[in-house]
Amino acid sequence: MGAEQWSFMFKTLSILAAWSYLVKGDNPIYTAAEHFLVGSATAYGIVYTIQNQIVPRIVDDIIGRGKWGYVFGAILGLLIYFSFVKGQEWIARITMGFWIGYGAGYSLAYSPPVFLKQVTDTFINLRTGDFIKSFNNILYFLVAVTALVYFAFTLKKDKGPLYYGSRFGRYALMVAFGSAYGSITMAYLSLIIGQLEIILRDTLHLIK
Amino acid sequence: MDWKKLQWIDVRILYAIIIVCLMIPMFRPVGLPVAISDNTRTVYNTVASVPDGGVIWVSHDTGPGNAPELNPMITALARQAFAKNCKLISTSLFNQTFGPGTTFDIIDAVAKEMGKEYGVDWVHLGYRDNAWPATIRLMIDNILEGAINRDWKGEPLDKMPLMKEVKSIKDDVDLIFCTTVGSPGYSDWMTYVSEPLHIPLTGGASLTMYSGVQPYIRSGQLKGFLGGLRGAAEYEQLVGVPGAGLAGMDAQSLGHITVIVFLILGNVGYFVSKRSAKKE
Repeated sequence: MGAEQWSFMFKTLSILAAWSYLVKGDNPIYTAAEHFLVGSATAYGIVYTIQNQIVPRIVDDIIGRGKWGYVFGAILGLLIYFSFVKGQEWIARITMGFWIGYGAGYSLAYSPPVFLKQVTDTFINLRTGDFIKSFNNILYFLVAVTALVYFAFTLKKDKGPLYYGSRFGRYALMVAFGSAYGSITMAYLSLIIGQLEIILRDTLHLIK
Repeated sequence: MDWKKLQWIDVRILYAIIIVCLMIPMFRPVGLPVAISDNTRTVYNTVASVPDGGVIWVSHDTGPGNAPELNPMITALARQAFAKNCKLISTSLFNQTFGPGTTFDIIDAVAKEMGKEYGVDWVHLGYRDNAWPATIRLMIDNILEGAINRDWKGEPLDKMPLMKEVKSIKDDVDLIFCTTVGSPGYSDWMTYVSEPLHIPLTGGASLTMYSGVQPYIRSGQLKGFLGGLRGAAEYEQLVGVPGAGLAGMDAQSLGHITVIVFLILGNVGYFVSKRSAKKE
């Protein structure tokens, strides 16, 4: 039996161990598989990061190309380990502050164009000449507006257009959630199919 | 008949029935027809519109859970791209342990079948660290810098002929094709790369996320998007090489019917037992 077949055997055993949760709940076989996964993923992650990220950055970039600017970044990052030094935890906050500030700033700089395009996409022609297209556009517009009304919690929505708009928005959201639920069911079936293929086709060779 | 029982069937029996129903078509395929949606046609046409010999950035951002849905999309994309002599540069940013190896194996299998050479026709950069926007920001201007001059296996990129032609995402990449199960995924590629650089973005999503991508398809920010195993099966048909996507569709269709039957039975049990309780 070759290495590939051993790998399929191992995959099958792992799948069955994970599925044992469905029958017996938390049990030793399931727990063993879970621990094996976490342990191997952590070990792989450490080796991969050292080999493909840290060593090339130090050897190629900093030492080889003289990009010493990265050293400042490295020092800033390493300050996070001060969270383990009693009495000096505040130093780790410098790194956290940089990460949060950088992340928030970067996101704010890039997100508005994507979001605004969604807003301008609701500025649509409601009378296109094509009945179906016009109907779709009107529905899209109505759902967008009424869903926003539903989420406007500061407005009093006990009667009139706001009441009916909010209710319509709520039903529209329910349709969207139902559609998402249906999609999720389909996706999970695909996952079972993938695992059955590993067991029946790759390991046991029962199907083509 | 005690209708209440329909609501309290042991869930393990339901699991067993679903698994059996999924297995039946695997042993006896029915070959149910799969109609091709406009979204899938748009994806196919977007890839087809890349000039012959152009560069497609493939980011297979998946984990093991969603791989059965998304892997067939990458296989079909590689076939369509290599048939046009397009060059592929791949990453896998969602899952460090599973994604890079799987992406390499999928593209490598198609590349070998179609006589394409690693380093010349395609390069795999694998996973890059979690400071996602920063890494990609570097690659936008200089791929070697962002990838630390290493491919997935640690080989130097500057020795590879393809990377001598493809220097940056902003100047040399014609299309981004990403698969999505979470973040990083399509929204990150859209926010940080495709929108600011005006590079077309397409790809495919797990069905768990597919309803969320619809507004972006409508607005044109995504050039079509494949939805789950069904989307993969449709794309395979357009590419003309049936694969794992189409093979799984019979099982999925029977699985859907089973779930719908369970939903109906559960609801019938609920309403009938409610009515009989009122009568009593």
